[in-house]
Amino acid sequence: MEIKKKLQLLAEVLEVDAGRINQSDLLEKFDSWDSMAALALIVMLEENFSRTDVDGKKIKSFITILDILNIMEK
Amino acid sequence: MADLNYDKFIVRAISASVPPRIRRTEEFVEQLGLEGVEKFIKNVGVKQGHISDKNMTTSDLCVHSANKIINELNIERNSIDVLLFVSQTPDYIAPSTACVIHSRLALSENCLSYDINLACSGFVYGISAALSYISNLEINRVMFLCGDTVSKHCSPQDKSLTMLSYDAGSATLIERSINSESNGTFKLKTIGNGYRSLIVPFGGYKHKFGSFERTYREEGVYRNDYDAYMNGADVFKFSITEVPKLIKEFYIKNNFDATSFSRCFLHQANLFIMKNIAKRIGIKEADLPISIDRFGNTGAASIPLTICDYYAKNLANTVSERIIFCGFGIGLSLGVGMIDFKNTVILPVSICSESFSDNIENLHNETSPFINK
Repeated sequence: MEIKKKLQLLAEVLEVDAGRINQSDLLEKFDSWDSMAALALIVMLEENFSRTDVDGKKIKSFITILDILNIMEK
Repeated sequence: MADLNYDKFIVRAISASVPPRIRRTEEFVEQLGLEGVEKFIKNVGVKQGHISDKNMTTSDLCVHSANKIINELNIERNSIDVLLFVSQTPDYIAPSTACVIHSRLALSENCLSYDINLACSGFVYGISAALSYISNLEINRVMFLCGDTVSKHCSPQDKSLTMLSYDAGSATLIERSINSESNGTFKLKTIGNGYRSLIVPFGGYKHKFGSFERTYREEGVYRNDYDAYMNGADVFKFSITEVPKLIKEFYIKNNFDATSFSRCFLHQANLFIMKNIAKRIGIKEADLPISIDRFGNTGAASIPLTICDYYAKNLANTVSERIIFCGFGIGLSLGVGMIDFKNTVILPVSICSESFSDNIENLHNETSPFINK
């Protein structure tokens, strides 16, 4: 999947325009990055990348957008 | 493999009860802000719920439901052979709350009674246990009570849990019936290594004494040792992966598909989770009754509460159709069942305002020492 599409998926999780997301952004910068967004992220990773290994611990380890992009592959 | 099949029974009646006091999610605006409240309502789905006062317990709610059935259907109290109480909010550490309820319902000494310690999956497990007893020739009537006062488990300063958790009780009467064409099919599972994901850690015998002081645990969460803990992300992941998997296995094992049932009743965990599960198992939203908007997540009671809310809006209704229901959560425990309603009397959700006084302060004046004078 190309990077543009991945950023689009992340934008949907964070409820912002895709153009407003940069790879180096800290997740905490987004007001919408809360427990519900974490659940939406789990669904997105499972449905698009068949990632079933994303649990609470892993979510907490994500600091930047890049951290998530790195696991957005099958 | 816990794949179970039952026949020669009828589900005679189902009733559900809630406490009078309603708490609205809007009441959290000060703590959460308007946007936060709106987001919670949209995603989690809870607009309000019923909450019990200090004196009211799960047993009060369940006794209320049981009496509704006994009175409406003119059931002879002596004719009940089995009383099961499924809950994780019992009245006492011991004895079984079922024994207290047995006394309050004035049942026969020949009625066996005990508790089953399960919550979100409890209705599915409880019905299955009830039907196992019914398969015995000498058992003709099972009164199966199922409920929780989940609000009492939660710290008021743990917003994600407290805004979700409410209280309700239910009663289901099942009878032996040789000529019945009703069938029941179940698949029950346990994922025990998830026991830490949802837990009330203190107050049992592993950790009998803890701190009552609510201290900072994580962003927006103050808890004491006796309050429930939930690892939201882990429970969520379990719900959207293991639950659809269980239901798909159940379909394959029994040659069912999403069109085999008139209705699908899911444990009212969280709207987002329920919609996600429904999508994954091919259930249309129109066939997925929702009560979480008005009653919240009521633990063991949520499936029977939703059944009563759906079929008996204001008046009792007699229902004949095949339903599927699935409970999942704390344990982690999960189960799915198919059952045929055949002229099943579904009573509307009723308000319980009586709580039982056990006069516990007087306990020691009642006992005389075992000493010969």
